[in-house]
Amino acid sequence: MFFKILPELGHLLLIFAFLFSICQTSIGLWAFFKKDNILMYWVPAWVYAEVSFLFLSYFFLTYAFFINDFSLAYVAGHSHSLLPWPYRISAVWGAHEGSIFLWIVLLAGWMGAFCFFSKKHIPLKERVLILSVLGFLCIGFLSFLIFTSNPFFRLLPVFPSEGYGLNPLLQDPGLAIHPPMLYMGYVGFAVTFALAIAALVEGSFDQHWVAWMKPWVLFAWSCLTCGITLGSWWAYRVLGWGGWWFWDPVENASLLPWLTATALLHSLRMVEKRNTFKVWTLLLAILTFSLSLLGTFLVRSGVLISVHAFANDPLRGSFLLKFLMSVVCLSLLLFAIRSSRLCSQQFFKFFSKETFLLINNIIFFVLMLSILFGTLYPLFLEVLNLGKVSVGPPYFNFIVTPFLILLLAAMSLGPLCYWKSTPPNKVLKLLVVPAIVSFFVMFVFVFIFPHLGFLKIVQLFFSSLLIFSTIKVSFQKNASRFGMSLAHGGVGVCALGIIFASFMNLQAEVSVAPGEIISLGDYQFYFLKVRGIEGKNYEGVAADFVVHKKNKIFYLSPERRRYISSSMPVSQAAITTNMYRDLYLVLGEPLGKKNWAVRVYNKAGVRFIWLGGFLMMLGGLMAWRDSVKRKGRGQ
Amino acid sequence: MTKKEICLYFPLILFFLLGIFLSFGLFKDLRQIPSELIDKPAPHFLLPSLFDERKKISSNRLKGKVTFIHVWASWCRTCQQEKNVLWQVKQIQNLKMIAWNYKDQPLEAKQFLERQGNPYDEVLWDEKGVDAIKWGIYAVPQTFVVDKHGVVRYGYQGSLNKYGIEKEIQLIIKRLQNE
Repeated sequence: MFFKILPELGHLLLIFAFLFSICQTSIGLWAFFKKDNILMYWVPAWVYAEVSFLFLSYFFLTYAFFINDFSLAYVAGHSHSLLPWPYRISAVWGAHEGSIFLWIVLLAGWMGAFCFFSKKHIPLKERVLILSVLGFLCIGFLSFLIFTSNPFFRLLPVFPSEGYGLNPLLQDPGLAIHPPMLYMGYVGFAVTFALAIAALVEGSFDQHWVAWMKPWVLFAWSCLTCGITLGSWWAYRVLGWGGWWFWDPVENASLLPWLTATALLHSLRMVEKRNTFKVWTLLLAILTFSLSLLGTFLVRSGVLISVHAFANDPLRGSFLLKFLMSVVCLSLLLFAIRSSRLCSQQFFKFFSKETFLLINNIIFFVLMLSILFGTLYPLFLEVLNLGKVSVGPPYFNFIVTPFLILLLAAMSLGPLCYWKSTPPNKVLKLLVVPAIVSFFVMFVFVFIFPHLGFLKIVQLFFSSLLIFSTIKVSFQKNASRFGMSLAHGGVGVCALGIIFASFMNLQAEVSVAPGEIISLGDYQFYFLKVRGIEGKNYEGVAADFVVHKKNKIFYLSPERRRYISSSMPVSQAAITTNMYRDLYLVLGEPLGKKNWAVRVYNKAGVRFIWLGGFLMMLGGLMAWRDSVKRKGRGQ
Repeated sequence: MTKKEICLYFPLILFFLLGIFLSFGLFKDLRQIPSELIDKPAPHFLLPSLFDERKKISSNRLKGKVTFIHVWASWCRTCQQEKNVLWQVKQIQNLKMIAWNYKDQPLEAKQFLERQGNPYDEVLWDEKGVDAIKWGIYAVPQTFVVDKHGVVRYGYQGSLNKYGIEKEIQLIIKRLQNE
């Protein structure tokens, strides 16, 4: 019976962690402003206590899911005894309470890691200040969890013998790891944010601060990149719409901090090398985390309606909004008061690294603003009583495309330049070979696809230019910048994938009966039969297809599942992949007695999008390792 | 303060304005039914009863009494939390309560009503959701109030398990009954 009371223990640990975070913040701030060195030594101890309590508490909640303890309201609402055990563990973050808890646990993880790894590099005084800021964030989120969305409430004395089950859409390996990765990134910017606040309080932001900040930005950025890529892959596989990005408000919410974080990465270079752009960099650091908070608010409050169906309770939303506004407004006020002393001026010529870093920053910032505007526009109109609208892909694609081309062009030129000034002919000389190769690539495509639009041809040219010029750079410069080259190459590959997916795309939506044939391009799909299937917690039908192209034959079986405990049918697309194309088969509704609605897609190059995302993440991680090493050497 | 120092306040001001907008957005009810339906005669429906498929119920039956229509489904998790509000509404005298079961399995719907209790006078079974289109129903739960003359007077989309909604609906029903 001991194991049955673990949730109570977890609840208790959670409350203690909340008290510890209050101690950590108040003692930390007191010690910092009173310059009390002895008290300062105590702050890390509070941090470690808080972190370990939170981890234990989270573990107990996971355990309750694992043993199907349906007397917990949260477990009963979002799990089922027939759910395979990996999904029972991922079900912890399958709904509101648990995902806020995961947020907090990851924040605690980042805080603990910062406390541990900063011991050698950062003086105690600054470290305590930074930990106090992080502690303040913990207080806010823990009180949100404990007072408005507590996952430890019991359904006693009468509790259900069976849970309601997890949303079938969430029962997928892509979704099991996508939220933790995304949150890792989101939350990781809290450390950057705390560093920026500390720098503002201290009134200095020099190379030391950059060296402290950089590894944390790079690691969080890599996690966020990975999370967004996984999310896109999940949407492609599970939602069965064959798209890879839907400009859904929730997707946008994850993209916004990514955009400012990317700008931040680049402006940090500027502070590091040229001791300029300090104010702007601090603003970006604050904005990145503010946008993470804003994203959490938008997703969790249900203020915007999206395909991600989350619980919406205005009371929770108003709590989050108050917290968000107090954190952001306080930090921006601090920024407004303190940052003027950090202004600095440096001069540089047009053909220089500085110019291109500036262009990068402007593009990313404008992109962020336009996507934020597009996401919130329907809400603005509703609040002003101007009617209901929805801003969809047309707006976003229209806005993003020109900036993407500009960005690709600037990225091909930028890394070739030196600091301060570069002779233009030198840069152009370096670009000759990549430009010739990209022209060749472009002509090959124009030859094969004569109906290509002008914008797509331009995009094609610039993305291949970026890839080839990046390859050239990575051969020329020393290996320490390899991470950057890899990430830039990743952008090129991703852009190429986006363009491919937009025009090399055949699709058909047909009604077929067993024995009939669908043809799409060179492929023929023979519909063999429909058979019943049974999984551990679902049953349904699978349709067997034989796919035939010239002398190659393979089998595809898309499924339509109905999970026990949920009557919503879910289609499981069948996908086969090689380097160049995805064949994507979705089984729709039954039509009449024998016929079925079937959608077939042949998508070329769509894998490049995720390959690009993966390369970006890898590049970020390499740059991260590099920056950690440098810091270790005291450079 | 110099011009530059004033500029540094811009992010603060912009974010503050954004926050004001968001708080309006949060408390404004974005889920009110589009006004096209309100004050128009109730759209036609002809649906079987959940408990007896041969018995058809038509929208002509809406006249005479104030009618409360609640659209729900057993697969809808939010609907499971509305029990208390629905029984509160049931307390009102001289009111007809109709449930509109939307795209559901009859067995599961019946089990749902057994678990939650059945406060309704009639339960419609809408397997395909065709008649629901005319009512602008694309998600559940959804609630309508129709007056004595068969005119839709109130519509709400979203969970009834929300502070204030229950009072609002009771007031509207009382007002319509006295008309």
